[in-house]
Amino acid sequence: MTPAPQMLPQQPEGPADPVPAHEALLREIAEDARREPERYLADSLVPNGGE
Amino acid sequence: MLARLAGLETEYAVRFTPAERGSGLRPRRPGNQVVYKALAAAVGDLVATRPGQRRGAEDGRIFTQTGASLCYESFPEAPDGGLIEGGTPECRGPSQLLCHQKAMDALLVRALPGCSARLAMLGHHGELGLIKNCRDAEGHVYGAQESYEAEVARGAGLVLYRAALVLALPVVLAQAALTWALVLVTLPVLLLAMIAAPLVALLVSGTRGLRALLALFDDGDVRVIRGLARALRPFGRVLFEPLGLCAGLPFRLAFRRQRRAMLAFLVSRPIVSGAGTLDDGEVFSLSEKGPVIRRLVRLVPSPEDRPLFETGNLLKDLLAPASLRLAPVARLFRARQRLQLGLADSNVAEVAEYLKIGTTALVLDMAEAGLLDDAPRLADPLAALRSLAADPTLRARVPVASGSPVTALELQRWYLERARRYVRESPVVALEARAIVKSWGETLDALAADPGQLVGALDWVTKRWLLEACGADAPPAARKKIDLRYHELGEGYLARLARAGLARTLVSAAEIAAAMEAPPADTPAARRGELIRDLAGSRLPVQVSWDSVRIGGRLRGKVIHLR
Repeated sequence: MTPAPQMLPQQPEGPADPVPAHEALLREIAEDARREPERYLADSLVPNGGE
Repeated sequence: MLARLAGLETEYAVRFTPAERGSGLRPRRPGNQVVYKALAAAVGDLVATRPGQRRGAEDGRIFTQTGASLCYESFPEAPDGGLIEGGTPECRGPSQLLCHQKAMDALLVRALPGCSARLAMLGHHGELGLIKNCRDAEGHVYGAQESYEAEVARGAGLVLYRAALVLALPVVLAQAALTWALVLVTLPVLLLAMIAAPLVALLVSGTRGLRALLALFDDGDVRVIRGLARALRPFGRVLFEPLGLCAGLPFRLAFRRQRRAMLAFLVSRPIVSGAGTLDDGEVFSLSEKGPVIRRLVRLVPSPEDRPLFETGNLLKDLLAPASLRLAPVARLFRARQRLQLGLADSNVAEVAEYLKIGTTALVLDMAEAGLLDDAPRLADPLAALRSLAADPTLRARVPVASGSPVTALELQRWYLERARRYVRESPVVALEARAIVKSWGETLDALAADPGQLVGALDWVTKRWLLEACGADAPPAARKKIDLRYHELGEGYLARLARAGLARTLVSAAEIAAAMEAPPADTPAARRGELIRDLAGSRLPVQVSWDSVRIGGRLRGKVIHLR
């Protein structure tokens, strides 16, 4: 059985402007978001949602 | 301090994008029930699982070797439009709970390829994802609930609560008898109709009539079930509304002290735990669930009656005699019950998730110690919730019963100061409580100075930053996709940010891997998980629930109680 885990110390604050360091990732996300967004929205509908 | 049992329930939305075939036609996507069955089987390939007892609107519940649970939740009139619900094992302490929630998410991610392979074998080729959020693109709301073991009442309050339960019992038993009478009357009628309808159709219109009749029951066409559900709704009202009125009394008396003390904390909590959401008008607000909370306490079992304090779990126990079970009603008389919160957004950012459960557990400890009896009283808590949850500038002020209107930050700081004093003056050194208070204070300071410092820590801040960085000039549908795909497990945008080191993590990969294998110690889940693992190779029928494990048949089987 697992004991309560030891929490990792929080990493230092991220860079004040994280955009330049991760421009490639942000470009990838921006492109992905523009790829058939209507289909993504339709394919994830939960018309009879839960509690 | 922080030792109470706690758990999280999360409803994951299913995303399935069918692969295009050579013809250019896109095949129909599988129903969510089919997806769930494939997912449960894939989970069973990774860890030991055993079937759970069925309750209410859920289907195919399984429990895993860690004591966690998975089930499919849907309404009878829409069997294919449901959600996948994951419940963590009961945990002691916020860090343990965070760890097991991350383990649940990780287990589902690992099961996705096996699930997709099973769906492909059924002819459903496509891309599958699970979204851990609370609101879809059309505004349908589902999501997460938090549970904390808490004192239902004490002293005279407990006597009154139990007396109210006793008063409700005759109505509960009458309702159970009425339900069974209705079943006994309608069942023969339905059976007769099922036999007679095809014969009549065949005699009147030949095979064409029979085909038309069968088409009504075609897979995916649920018109008949919807029609039946509509026809039976008035009976449901007759059966359940009197129960609601009677059940309302004991549940009005349950957790009164905590509810009063916590209310302003919970109403202002979305500034820390809100998932962030983009509505139809492209307006960004803090919380997905906040705007749809209609009541402070649930008094009737209706999905439209979405409450801040959920009592659905207690109502289900009170309704148990209808399914010939009396033990759940007996358990309602215990002094400690499960306090459930309906106002909870699903978090994917670890810091937000940890602060949500950590600060709430701490506030509950203080409430039960009588240290929050002078907590701020909001003049109109539901209006305050709507106002604060809609305001990412954090400048909105809401009226309180005495004094000037206050902001969400001021309300949170009031509770933070009490928590600092509580931890400082506590005779027991609780390292985790100190860590929570420190992180809570730093988070509120950052929110006051510049929320941008919390990118990767709080969901609403990170999502808003992502919308600005990646979607400022994007069309509305693409911005909404950012809103939703931010929450997708595995390939979602927050998961990608985390892999790139842009989202703060509190639990190590090794701890998550361990929590996928073993249950939390010193909890009902420990015994449950141990039994599931021991019985994995057994041919004996096993049925698991949150309260017990039945080994063997219904008549001669052995029941092991977990609490």
